[in-house]
Amino acid sequence: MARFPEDLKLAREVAAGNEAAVACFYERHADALFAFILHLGGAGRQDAEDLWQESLLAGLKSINTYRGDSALFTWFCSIARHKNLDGLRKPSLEHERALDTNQAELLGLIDGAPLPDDLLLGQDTKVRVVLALATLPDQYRRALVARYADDRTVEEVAAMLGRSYKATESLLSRAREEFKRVIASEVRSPKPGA
Amino acid sequence: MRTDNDWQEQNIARLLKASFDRSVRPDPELRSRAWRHLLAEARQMRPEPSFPDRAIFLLAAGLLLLAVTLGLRAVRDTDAAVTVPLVVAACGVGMNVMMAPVAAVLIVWRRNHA
Repeated sequence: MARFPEDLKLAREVAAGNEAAVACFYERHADALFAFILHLGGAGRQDAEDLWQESLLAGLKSINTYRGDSALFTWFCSIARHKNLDGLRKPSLEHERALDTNQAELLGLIDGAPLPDDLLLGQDTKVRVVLALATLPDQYRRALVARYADDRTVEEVAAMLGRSYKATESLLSRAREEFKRVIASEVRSPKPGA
Repeated sequence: MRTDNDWQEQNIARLLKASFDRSVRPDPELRSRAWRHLLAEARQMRPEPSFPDRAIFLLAAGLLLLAVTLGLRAVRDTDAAVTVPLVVAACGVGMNVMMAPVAAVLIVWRRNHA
């Protein structure tokens, strides 16, 4: 029995060449996958763009091997992670520059004691936030992203979702609770990539 | 005075801003280019043929029946000219029956590791 039956159903429809299912997957997860790749580190934006497209295509081509044991987004993330590791074995000039920048930043902060650890934790946190966002129901995710990541007003979010102001406020409140719950369960479970 | 709810909202806003603002998302042009590429690939995908469980079962049952029939005929018939070809045919059919589960395992394995 699959642990993620809805994702498995979506994957099967994608595998069958159902364009609506491909569009649904793309709308739901493509942006988050891009953010995940950027937060993984080791890739500059240009590399991340290439890696993102490669991961989407690789995932699509092997989607019939997805068995629903993990969330579909997590499955795509593992493809991106492997591709990222492959890329890191032969780092690009851009990647080396990024590492140099990180090192310079670390050196600049070295007197500030625990901050280097905080920097690492910060990256980990970003990955966790993206993973948590991807597991939220569509309405919750869209509302949270529009309101807090895109700085839209509640009225604008309400118009976007076709809801009343009050209903949107209530939706946002439930979405925040759910987000908090997912983040908490992520923290209790093994670290991403572990 | 701030309530827990205010802090929660502010912290979640900061987390989302830091992790998922527009700077960490693909720009619209790249997004639509990647979508067109993905859609073109998806259009080339064909639904995986369903596993022919019933057909394989019927084939194996038919072969088994044939092997038993041939075996019984060979035992009952005392004429060597008839018995030998019947035994050879029964062996051939028996081999096919034995291969049925092997083929089923191979099909499942290939489907899972394609």
